[in-house]
Amino acid sequence: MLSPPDPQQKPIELTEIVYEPRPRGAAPRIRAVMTKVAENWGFLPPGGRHLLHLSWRPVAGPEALPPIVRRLIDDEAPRMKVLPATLAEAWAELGAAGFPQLPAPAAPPAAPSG
Amino acid sequence: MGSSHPAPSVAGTVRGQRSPRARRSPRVPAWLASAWLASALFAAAAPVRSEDGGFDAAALAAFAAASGGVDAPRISAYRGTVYDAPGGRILATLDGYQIARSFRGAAAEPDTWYVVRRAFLLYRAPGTGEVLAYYPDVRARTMPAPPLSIVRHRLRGDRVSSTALSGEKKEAGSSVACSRRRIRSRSRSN
Repeated sequence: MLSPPDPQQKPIELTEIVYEPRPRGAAPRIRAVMTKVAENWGFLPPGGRHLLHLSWRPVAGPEALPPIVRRLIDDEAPRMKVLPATLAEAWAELGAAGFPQLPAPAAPPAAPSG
Repeated sequence: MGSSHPAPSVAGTVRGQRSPRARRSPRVPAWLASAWLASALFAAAAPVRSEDGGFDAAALAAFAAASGGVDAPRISAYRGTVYDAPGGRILATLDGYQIARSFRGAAAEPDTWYVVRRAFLLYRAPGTGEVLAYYPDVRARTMPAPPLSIVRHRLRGDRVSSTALSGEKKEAGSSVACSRRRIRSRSRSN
């Protein structure tokens, strides 16, 4: 088994999120479609680009997950099942007090003259 | 999680659309509903164009609440497919899990929501189901604690701007290994 060291560090080219409200109190559906550059994905063929279609839906609980996912979480990542109770606790877990100031977006290149 | 990779940037859209069930009226004749359903299915198979603007505070609140539970954490199941591009060959299928909770921003941050989440991703070979990778890879002991992500969604006019910070606090020293993502969302919601 190969595993990328940190998939969240991968450059992402495009993320599209579709939020679909549903009637009568049913949970809305969210779909995300992402295009990612492949070079850092250790388990995928190098070169080229890969397209990831990803969707997620609310479920009643862990019992609704695929058995292999549930087993891996239970056996090897039990902390995955617990979230900080407050936003302050979440920041403390990251060791941060909030979002750092991001640099302003780069200005678009000037149009060539003449 | 320390990495020399530059912080990835994400640019995309957040769109809202009513589901077919939401549009369906119970007083519509069956034949008309069937015709409408057929056209809706055809439309669903076709690419949908993004639309700019139209997002408001209520839609943002609904979106944030759908991402994570407000009163208690919400669990979601991930499903996905990784394709070769160009080509379209299926390289992996993805299953996973997310636990997330949404918090409204403080009074000083109107129309701002924070989504705190942990995600578990499992990549498998198509057909055989062999495990190719999973994240976080606790078997490799490179990540003793599952990382946490905090995503901030802010309303900017009729658009949503999202920024994400994820990682884990390092026990030794004061450095924090985090990745940062900025998501510029041009959005529309019903």
